Amino acid sequence: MMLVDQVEWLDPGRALRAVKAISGSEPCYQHLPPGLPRERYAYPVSLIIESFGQAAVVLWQSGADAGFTGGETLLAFAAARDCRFEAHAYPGDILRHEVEFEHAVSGTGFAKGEIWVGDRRIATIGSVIAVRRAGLTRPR
Amino acid sequence: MNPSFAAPLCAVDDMRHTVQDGKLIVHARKKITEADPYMVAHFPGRTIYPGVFILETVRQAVVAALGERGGALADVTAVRSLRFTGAMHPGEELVVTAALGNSEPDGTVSADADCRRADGSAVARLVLEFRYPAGVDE
Repeated sequence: MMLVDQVEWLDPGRALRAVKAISGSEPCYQHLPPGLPRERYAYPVSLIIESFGQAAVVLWQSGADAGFTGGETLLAFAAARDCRFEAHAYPGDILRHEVEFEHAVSGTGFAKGEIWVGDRRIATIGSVIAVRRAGLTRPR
Repeated sequence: MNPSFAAPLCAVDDMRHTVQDGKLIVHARKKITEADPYMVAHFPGRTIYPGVFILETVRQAVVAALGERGGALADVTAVRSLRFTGAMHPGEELVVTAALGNSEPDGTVSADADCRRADGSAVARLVLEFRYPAGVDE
């Protein structure tokens, strides 16, 4: 479930800009019958948050003092606060995540930011929190 | 039944609602299965129901409970808080109990969702806000 296409700009461990193109061929659209109102094609908020969270993880792991060593550690989405969704995004739109990494403590990372489509802000993310959970590593 | 809107998966197997102290309470269940979209890759060799899919279960249940208004469905306009305290695995069943608040003057409805496994152990707690698109008639 890779929902980040490209990192466009990176200040390691501090901030990044990442994009994800929304395509009508994605699984979230495949069950829809033809003829539905346009609003039914709004990209699900759950996937918008997941995409932003994945960008935040990339940013966390890019920091020199992030402490990710020895194999691939998977991070779990732990919490979120004050996320506001102002407008829809649709197939053909490109989500642009402007992510700021706030800090990490004891294996927990905190990030916030905004999500844009073109010159329209569609969401503000007050806080997303990821944790490294013991034993949660990618099998080789 | 698949939702009539874009959704990563059908995140509700069955649902019902009750009224308690004048508040609408939405009850929903979802059996976690590796056969659902995205599951095989999350993660290979150790499948976990994505946290955002727990949000999706709550969303689909509340949207269905609120129903259509002028042909439109309610949108998630805010995730005020969301906290995951446990992971869900294939074979387990997610049980959601969401208490809906009264409609605010601007039409916003809050949903306070308690999410547990069938054995009662806690999995997540979410507070979401929903609102119909502007211009939709009551």
